[in-house]
Amino acid sequence: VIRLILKTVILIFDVFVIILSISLIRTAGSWYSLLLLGLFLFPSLRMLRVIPGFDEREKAIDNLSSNISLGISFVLAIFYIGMKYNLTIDGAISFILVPFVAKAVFFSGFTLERRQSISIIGRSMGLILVGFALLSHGFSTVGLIEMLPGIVILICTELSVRYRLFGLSYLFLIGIATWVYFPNFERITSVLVYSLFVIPFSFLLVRSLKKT
Amino acid sequence: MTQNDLARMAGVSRQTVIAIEKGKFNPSVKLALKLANIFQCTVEELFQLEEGD
Repeated sequence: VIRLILKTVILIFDVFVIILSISLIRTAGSWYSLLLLGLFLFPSLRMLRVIPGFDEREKAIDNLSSNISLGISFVLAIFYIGMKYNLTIDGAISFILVPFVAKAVFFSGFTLERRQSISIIGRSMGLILVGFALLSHGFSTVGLIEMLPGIVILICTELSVRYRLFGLSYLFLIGIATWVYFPNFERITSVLVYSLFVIPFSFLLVRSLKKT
Repeated sequence: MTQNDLARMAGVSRQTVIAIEKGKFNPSVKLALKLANIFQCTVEELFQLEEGD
């Protein structure tokens, strides 16, 4: 009975947050609202049994990836304090976005087999970048240039799924990201974008080179 | 019986079945009993302690 009451309370809270997020999309930052929505939507759907729940191994991996994300949050917090950033809206969003993305990467990476995890993480990253470029500039020259990083990630993903050693290409991508973003670390958004690239790339590098 | 069939019958994902087969994941007593039930054997027949466990 207590478990049922607890579940109902959590569900009501989740539904409240989802409604709040939808209502905030128009009035506040849409990024932040979509994040909140993404964070609470799936657990609620799982609780309502719309999508299948986690089995015990997936629950264990969920806990592990949450702990890793918490660790990343601590590192980010220490870094932000050390760099004496002024906390802007971008900074606040990045503080939530980076661990959230890290959790998604680690969870799908640990849960799925090598081929599937590389495909899902790499393709998602590539398609998001291509999608952003298309939405911002359409099929123009600038749009095509902005699409290039996404296309490179997609090519690296397809090759590293088939050939293990192509996983080393992620090391090259990490190098490029460091070269582009590291000199601008005085800006909080550079740290955000750098983390969003390097965390998935590092994971893809290890996952591609490992046999299983 | 395929891994998919076993996963469906035990109510877990195929990846979990693979992880148990490879010895990378130790199932709970409940899942071990479920698997033993599916194979109609005892848990001891299905899982054994290895050296160093």
